[in-house]
This record gives sequence, structure tokens and C-alpha cells, in this order.
Amino acid sequence: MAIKIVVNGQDLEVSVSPMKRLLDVLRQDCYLTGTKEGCGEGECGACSVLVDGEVINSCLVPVCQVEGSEIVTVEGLAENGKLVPVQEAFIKYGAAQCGICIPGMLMAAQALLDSKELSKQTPTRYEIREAIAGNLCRCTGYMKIVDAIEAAALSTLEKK
Amino acid sequence: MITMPSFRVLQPKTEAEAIEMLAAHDDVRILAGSTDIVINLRNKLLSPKYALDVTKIASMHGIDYSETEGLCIGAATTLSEIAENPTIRTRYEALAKAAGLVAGPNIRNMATLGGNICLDTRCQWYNQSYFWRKSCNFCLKKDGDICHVAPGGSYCWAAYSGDTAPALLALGASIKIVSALGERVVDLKDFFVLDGIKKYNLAPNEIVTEIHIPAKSANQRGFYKKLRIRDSVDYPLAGAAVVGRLDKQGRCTNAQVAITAVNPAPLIVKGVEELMVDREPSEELFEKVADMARKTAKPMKTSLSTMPYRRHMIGVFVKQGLSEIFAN
Amino acid sequence: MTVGQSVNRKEGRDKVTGAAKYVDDYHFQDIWYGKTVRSTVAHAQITGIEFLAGFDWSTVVLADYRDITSRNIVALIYDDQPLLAESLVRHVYEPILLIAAPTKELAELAAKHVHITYKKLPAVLTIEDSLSAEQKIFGDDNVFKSYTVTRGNVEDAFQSAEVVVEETYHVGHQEQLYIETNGIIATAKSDGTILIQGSMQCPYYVHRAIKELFGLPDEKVVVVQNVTGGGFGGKEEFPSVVAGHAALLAKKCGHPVKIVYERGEDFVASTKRHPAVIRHRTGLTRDGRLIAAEIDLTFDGGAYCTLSPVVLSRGVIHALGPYKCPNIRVTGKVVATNTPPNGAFRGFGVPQACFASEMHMENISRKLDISPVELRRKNMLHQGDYTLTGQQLTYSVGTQQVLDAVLERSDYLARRSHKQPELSNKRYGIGLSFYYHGGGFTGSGEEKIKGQAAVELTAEGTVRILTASTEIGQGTRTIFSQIVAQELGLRPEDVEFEENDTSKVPDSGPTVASRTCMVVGRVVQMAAASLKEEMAKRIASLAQCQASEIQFEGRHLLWQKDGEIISVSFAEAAERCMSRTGFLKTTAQYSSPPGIKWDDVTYSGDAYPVYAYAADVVEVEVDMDTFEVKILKVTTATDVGKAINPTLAEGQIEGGTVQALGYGLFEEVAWKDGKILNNRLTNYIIPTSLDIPDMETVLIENPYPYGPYGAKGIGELPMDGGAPALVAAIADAVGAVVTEIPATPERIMEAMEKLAVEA
Repeated sequence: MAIKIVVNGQDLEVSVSPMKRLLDVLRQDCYLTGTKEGCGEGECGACSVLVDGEVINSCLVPVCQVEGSEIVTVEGLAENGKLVPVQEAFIKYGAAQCGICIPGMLMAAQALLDSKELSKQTPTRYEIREAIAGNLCRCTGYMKIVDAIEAAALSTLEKK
Repeated sequence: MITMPSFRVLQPKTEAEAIEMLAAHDDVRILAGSTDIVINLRNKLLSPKYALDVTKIASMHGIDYSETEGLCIGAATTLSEIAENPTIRTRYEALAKAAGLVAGPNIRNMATLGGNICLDTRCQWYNQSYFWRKSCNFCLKKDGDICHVAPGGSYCWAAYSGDTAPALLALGASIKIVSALGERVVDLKDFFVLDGIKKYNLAPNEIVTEIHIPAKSANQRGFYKKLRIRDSVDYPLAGAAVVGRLDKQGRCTNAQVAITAVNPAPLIVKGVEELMVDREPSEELFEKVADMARKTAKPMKTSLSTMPYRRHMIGVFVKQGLSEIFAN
Repeated sequence: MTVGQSVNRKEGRDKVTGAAKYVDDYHFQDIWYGKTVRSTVAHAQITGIEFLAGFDWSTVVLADYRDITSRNIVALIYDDQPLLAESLVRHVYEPILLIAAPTKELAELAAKHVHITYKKLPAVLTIEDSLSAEQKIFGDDNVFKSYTVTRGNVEDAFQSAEVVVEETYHVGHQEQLYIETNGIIATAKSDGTILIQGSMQCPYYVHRAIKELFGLPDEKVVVVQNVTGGGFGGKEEFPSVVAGHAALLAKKCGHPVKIVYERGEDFVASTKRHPAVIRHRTGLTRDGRLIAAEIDLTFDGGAYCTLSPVVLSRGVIHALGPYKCPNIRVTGKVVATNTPPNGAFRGFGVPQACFASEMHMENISRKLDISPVELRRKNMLHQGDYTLTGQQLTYSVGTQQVLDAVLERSDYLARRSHKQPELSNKRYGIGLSFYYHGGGFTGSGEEKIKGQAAVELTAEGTVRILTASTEIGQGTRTIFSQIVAQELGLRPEDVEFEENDTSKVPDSGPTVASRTCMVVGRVVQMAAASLKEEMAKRIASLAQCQASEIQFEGRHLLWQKDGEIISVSFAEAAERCMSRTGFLKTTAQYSSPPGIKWDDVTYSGDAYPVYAYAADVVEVEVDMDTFEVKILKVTTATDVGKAINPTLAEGQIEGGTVQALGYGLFEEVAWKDGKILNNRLTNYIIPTSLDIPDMETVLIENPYPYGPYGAKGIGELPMDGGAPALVAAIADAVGAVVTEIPATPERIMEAMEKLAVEA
């Protein structure tokens, strides 16, 4: 079955089984291996991507359900090699250790930064923790990740 | 390695099309948020010939409220939308709270209310991969004929694990079910069956399209809490919803308690209304209701948490809920 | 100075853009997929393997133990573990048969059509069953290894003790739960070479294991580490199993074979932290001075030995904690059971020992009514004191500093004495732990390994490091580049790395035991110093000056000639240095600090060249209706020697502490007949961002003279103290001491009921 999706701004048509997981379509058919599989059952969030602006677990989504949707993966964050604030902050604050959860973590963080409420004020640390509560990290203890998102939120707000 | 079985996907755009497709095909599974079913498919717990995706049906999305008609929610509306909806948060607090406590944020962005109501029951011997289950000679819920939870028994104790159902039960919700034979509206309390395998009264060609909560249930205080080991992601190991209202004299005019995750179905605790209405809330009453709830709960060893603790927690939540709702 | 600065992680950009390639991100055209068929019973004779009809067996390739051309072992210490079971299975999930197929679906379908029959044997599933030795599954007594360490006269000392405190502590399995599951791709080349790439901590362990399986010489096995998504010890020895399976299939089917476990399989197949039962009996003076101690540790090794003797040895040496006790006997044994083998996990025996010893301090403090702080102060090790093994601590002893710092930063004394009015059903509690961890291999280990590393000049005029120490998230590449940059007056970004490939890099020893920074970092520093010396020599002969006059600064070489400063860029100097030879490479090898002595027979002497020290304060709120614990705040103070990169050091401490809090609060493996009930992320619970509060991390620098710039190893240390500090805080809140972790609400409820009965 031919399915049309928009991935990182590009119109794509993939010829796959409609029940193929979005995660597998991204990794195998779109050659975007940045999105990771950590558990395959929606618990760890390593496979998080944005679908029409909302963060979801791509290991649980049959691709037929996102036909026509706009999908953003970790590869789609930076523009022409220029990192977005949350990527910069993750590097600066040491938020990435082994790095396997980071693509998903970044998507959850970006969804928070993109949310409407944020146009007025930065999220609290608790709100940041809530936003990444579906993304497990075993390396960092979350401190540096929260620090990085907080800093990215501040710099995003300052730019607005 | 776990792979997805192959089958065909049907993608209707309208309810009428969906009904037609359901009538024309055998062995169809409904696909909504996919968060539960995709895992079960990959674990070979399900192997349908067809999957019918309801997410493209516009009429199954959305939240409508009017003071006369009450609240109508399309079955394919996501739990995030419900948890964040201002009307539901103020008028049907228990539902907003329950929806907001399902799993983690990523799941809530996908999972739907209809799907959460129709969640498969869970058991540590069932929610496992094919090879894992094979190593235990399977169980009577799937592929086998024994129960590891109650050895020798022929009844499935798998626990109903939806969070929203108890809130909906306490709010007196009904659901609309459609099929080629027409539509029927069922009180949610009559929908569920105390049987881990059968779970609920829904024929193979039927589909839940809408959830309705009556106007009279609006504007009550609402409470939902669940036991889970960590503060995010987990399914409930025990959960209780409480709704109620006081009159100006401080007397109780309504009180409903429903519990989840401690039986094969979510249950209304019977007799709460009769006990509490027209009386002034008191610690003593709360303790009585908590005791009734504890007696209604029959958790079995379907998860790692112990049975006495899960029952204990039902009592704790009910007391907390009542105290919160009927606080002056 | 670059050492001491929080420079950005070397591979940071790759990790935030999705460019970093982990093993599952590699795909080859003709790749096949491997699938492992495992035992479903704990202990049995295999009576038959049937290949059922209804499947076209010509479409897949099968391999079993008979395909192994040399030795059917997972080479490690005892070589008792077969790569594939032959006639006997000794634990559930033991690999028996391998399948390779062009697709995952086909491999899975084939596996569904394999039926194995067994004649069951009695299974030994617990430490108690194993100790009784009614069913013998290893030797005459089921004991893999035992140790006894004695100092002073224990019996006499107990006679004179005014108080004796005795208690037994229990800890269960813990899963490493790296978010990237185990994965390997193996390719068998036509010349007989086997190429392995994948997720691992120790390429040379895999290298040796593959050589043993097929009887190959060094050069015929090439192992490459891919970007690795976490290890925590779980990818120390276990990848040898996956690599062996993949290699066997690749040889037989003629295709590269990829085996990447899904989570449920990784969980059951891989090693875990050893469960343990630890008994403490302690004699004290009434004012709280330790005068006699007897400690007995029993670890559950599982079905095969793996690294158990070494894990136990570390547990035994750390059994008392960082305290003085003149008369002590520690006995330890690790026993065999018919459960999956346990192995390396961050902390390596110490988290078990530390939970017991620190909870015992909590119990002593309650029994003697001495504050936990005073009890520690009275008994803590200071510079010049002797440890359990008779090691005199002569440098870098930060005990007092870490305790003072954590108390001050957490405001422990004020908070502990502040009695809150009990208006609600929530009780506040604050708990302390105080602990240490030896850096590097135990005893003579480092002397035997003789880890090597090299540094060379590149054609571009920069520097390249050659080491087998792996980057697994802890920051190897960043800190090594800082160390080399510091030595040579460069920036960390001027330093690159040779691919971690056994055909290209020397054996630096494994990436384990908190040794990467402290031991290998030192070797890297030595290699860089040699390079500097050699460059200075060569430039000096060209410039006709003394080598000792040449300074390496700001990416330049500088010297004075006739009162004038002459400056040559590092790149240009590098080119000149290589003009005749074409390359310049220096290699260094580890040697122990002077005066280090260890006796393997009596288990006495300098167990480790140095220890790192830490103290934790955990604050909790316990709901007295539900017995649920909410962690409010965590403060840690750690003597790291020198923080090469403070942000990375803090990251290690925070991450390790959260693993330790998970261990104390809810991580537990549930078993039934030797099978794991909770092999998934839905039911094996690790902390989310909402379970953990903000943390305060205090770094204390007490330089170790033989570490790079004074650095000590801290990779494992933070895993040791979190659980006891947490459980002590719970005890402070509810008044009852939980002696078994995880401290679930059920166990807290139980401890309180027991207390009520006693009262």
C-alpha cells in the first residue's frame, strides 16, 4: 500500500504494509535511524516523534494512521546544520550521556517549547519533568536534561 | 524479536462506512489510539484478519457540552484532549483527572477514550510475548487451558486496567454502540462483564462511537487516584473514582464510588448513594464506604503488587476521595 | 587549562542530531537475522529437538553446539558456561539452538516450529536451597568461590564488647536496563576472519571469546565497538554470548547476521546484579566505638560462574564500609542456582555490601541512641588508618570532607531535629549514608592486565588517541581528549580518536571497575607525555636548542633563542617531527603506584591503589495511609580526586544515584519456577523524571597523586550509597527499619507491623 506522509518537511510516499509501525517506516523506509527503539511497547519513549506537533511513541503507531500527517524526527530539528536551542542546550548542559534516549527526549522537549502557553513564560522545572515523564533515561538521573530544557526555554522566550 | 502479524487495514471515513465494513468482514479488530492493541498484536495475543481504523471518522472526534444535554465525547477523542479540556476539567473533574493519569504524556496524545474503555484486561501471565507465554504452557485467556493465578480454576481473573471507566461509571455515563442492526445506548455499568476473557458486551461487528455523561452529573466535585509504582507511565494496580455533591445545609445529595484494576471489570460500589444521601458526611460514613469498596475489590495475583496491599489502597483512595469531596 | 573545564561532550553533536550510529542503525544488503531458541525449564536433560512440519526448513539456517569448531564456552573465568547447551540445561532461557533467516518474521516463525522436550531435574532456585546442597549443581557444595578475611582477634573482642548488634539484610536482583538492548552484527569473511561489531563495553573480551570458540589466532578476529547506548556492567561480559551466536550463524549461513534483542529477550537473557543475604554481628563500646565485627555475605551467582568470584571479592573487601574495626572477620561465598547467571553491574558487589553495612549503622545508631553522624565520626577511616585488608591509607582520604560537605549542604542536623507537627498523614524523614569504592581492579588485577594506550600525530598535524576504552556515555572520549590536550597545549577538539577496533587499538583493559579515567586516563596521559618529550627532542635538534626549553602552549611550541621567543604551530611541528619517519606514535603501559603490595592467598594488603569517598543525604515523605514514599531531595558529596570535567562528573554521580534510588525503592525481579515474571518495562520499574527530585551534587577534590591530574574513579561509587540513605530516611520517618530492598509500600507496612508487635 502506498502511503503519503510528510517527514521533516519532505513529502514522501512509502510503499509498505499499512500496519507497519511508524518507527520501522522511519528507520527502514525513510532511512532515518535517529529515532530509536528501546522497548517496543510505549514505555520508554526512545521512539518519540512529533506527529502534527504532538509527541507520540512511534513504536505504537501503525503508519496508516498518520497518512497525510506531518512528522518531525530528531533529524528534522536542525535547519541546514544549525542546531535549535534545545539541541544546543543538551550539548552545553551535558544532558546526553549514552545518547540512546536523546532523540526521543529532544522531541518531548521540543513539543513543550512549541506549546502555546510557553509564548508567555518559561515552564517550571516540574512542568518540564511532566513533559518528559514518558521518556526514560537510565544514565543522567534527569537533572542535566531538566537543566538543559530550562535553559532552552529561557533562550527561546528571549528570542520571541 | 517480535514482529507484527500481517492483516488488512480498513479505513472508513464515516460511521456508515465503518458499519458497512464491519458487516462485510469477519474477524475485525478496532484500531483507535493503537497504544494497547499494537503491543497485543506483536505479542500474538490477537491475530485478526482485519483491523478497522476509526481515527479517520470525523464524527467520532470531539467534545460537546450543553447544560441541558450534558457531555458528549467522540470515542476517538484522545485522552490529552479530554484531560486538558476546560469544560471537562471544571464540570466533570473526575474524568479529567482520570484521563490525565493514564500512562505518560506521549501515550495520552494517542490513546482514545473509546479505546481506554475497551482496554483489554491485564495479567502478568498474559501480557507477555508468545515465547514467554509458551515457556509457561500459555494460559486460559489465550492459547492455553490453565490459570496461573488461580490454579485449577476455569475463570479468568485478568484485571480490568482502564483509568477512565471508574470515573465514567461514577458519573453515570452511557455509551453509544452502532452496528448494521442499528444503534443502542448502554449504561456503562451494564457494558462490562466480570470475566477477564469476555470483558464486555460488544458483538464482533459493533463499535463504540460516543460516550455520554448526563447533565445532572455535571458540576460535582470529582476525584480519581490510582496506585502505581512510579509517578508516570504505569497502568493502575488499583484505582478509585469518587464524585459527589453537598447541598447548602451540608448534606450529601449525591455520592458515587467506582473502582478499577482490582477485578476483571470496573465496578460501581453498590449502596454508597443509599448510605450517604441526605446525611451529613462524617469520618464514620467514609470509613463505612471505604469498607464497602474494599469488599467489592477482589484483586488476584495478576501483578507484582500484593493482593492485600491493593485492597488496602482501594480503601485509602475512597476515604481520601470522600474527604476531599465533602470537605467544607 | 582544559582539564577541570566542563567542555562539551566530544560526540555531543552526533547524539543530539541523530547522526550517532548504534548497531541497529547499520544495515547491509544481504544481512540475515539471528534468533535464539531458549530453554523453558530451569534444570533438565534435553531429550529431543523436533522441527515441526508446516514450515519450510530449507528457508532458514540452524546452528547448535555441534557447529562450534573449537570450544563450546563463553570464555571468562571458569569457562563453565557453554555458548549453546549440549545435553543439559541449567537455567530457564539458556540458549540451545540458533536460527538465521533473511527476515525477522521468518526467523520468528521458524522458532515457533521448534519443539524441545526435556526430562526435568530438581532445580535449585534460592540461596537457601543451594547452601543445603541437597541437589548438587556445582562441585560438592554448590559454591563457586569463597573468601575469608580476618584481622585481629574477633572472639576475644566480642567478649569485651559492651553491646552487640546483629541483623540480616536482603537484596534482590537488579537489571542494568540500558535503554539500548544488546546487539551484534557478525560477518564471516572468506579468508576465515570473523568481524564483529556492536554494542559493548569491552571489545577485547569479545575478541578473546570468539577466538576460543573457533580456535582462531588474534588477527583472524576483529571486534569493533559501535556507539553504545548504555552498559552499566551489563555489556561487560554478556556481549560475548551475543557475538558468539551471531558469529556461529554468520559462518554457517554465509551472510552477515544481525542479532538485536527486543527488550523482553534482553531482560531474561542477560546478566543481573547478584541477590545477596548479608549478616552483620557487631561488638561495640557503649559509646559507639566498633571493636569487633563478623560479616557474612552470600551471593547468588546463578547457573554459571561468569564474573561472580570477582564481584564477591569486591563485596567482601567493602563489607565493613569506610570504618575502622581492629578485630574483624568477613566471610563470603557465591553459590550456584538454576537461575540465569548474574554478572557485572555498576558497583560490582558493593551496592549489596553497602546497603547492609550502612543499614547496620542505622540499626546500631538506634540501638545505642547515638546520632548517625556521631557514629560515623567515631569510626570513620582517616589518613594513616588501616582498612579491613590491612591497607594503610596514605593519600587522598576524603572521608571527613565528604561527610562535612553533605551535612552542611543538606542542612542535615537542623532538618533532622526539626520535628514537624503531625497534622497530616505524611511523615518527613531524612537519612544519611557514608561510603567508599576502590578504583581500578581488585588486588593484583591491574598488574596482570597491564593496560596500554597510545597517542600519535596525524597527517593533519593534530593528535589521535588509540585506546580500547569504550565510550558508553560516561565520557571517555571527552576526558581523554582533555587530558591529552592539556599535556600538549592543544584544545580538546584538536584531539581525535582511532576507531575502537581490536585490529587498530591496543588492549587498554576492559571499560569497567571505575578504571577508565583513573587508570587508563593515566596511561593516556603518560603516552601523551612521551609524545611531547619525543616531539621536543626532535624539534630541539632541528632548532638547536634544549628539548627541556620547549614549551607546549596555545597550540604552539615555543622556545627562546638569543633572547627572542620562537613559536611554531603544533601542526607545523608535527609535520617536521614526522618528516623522516612518516609517523610518530608513543605507547604507554600501566604500572602500579610505588609501594603497592597485595597477597592473593591471604587476601591482605593494598586492595586498591586508592578509594573514592562519598556521602548522601536523602529526604523523603512517607504517606502513612498508603506507605508510598516520595523522595523530596537528594544531596551528595563526592571526593573525586580531581574532576577532569565537572559536568560529566556530576552526570555520573546523578545518574548513578538515581539507579541506586531505583534499587532501594522499586527495582525488583519477580520469579516463578526460575522464570522472570516482569521482563518488560511495564512491570520492571525504573525511575521516571517525576520520581526523582532535583539533586545537589557537591564535588570535592582531594587529588590522588597517581591519577591523571589527581583524578580518581567514580563511575561506580554513586551506585553504592543511594539505597541505604533512602531506607534510612524512611526509617527516620516511620520509625521502623526495612532490612530488605526494594523498600516497597508492602515491606514498609510489614516493618511497621513488626515494630508494633515488638513494642
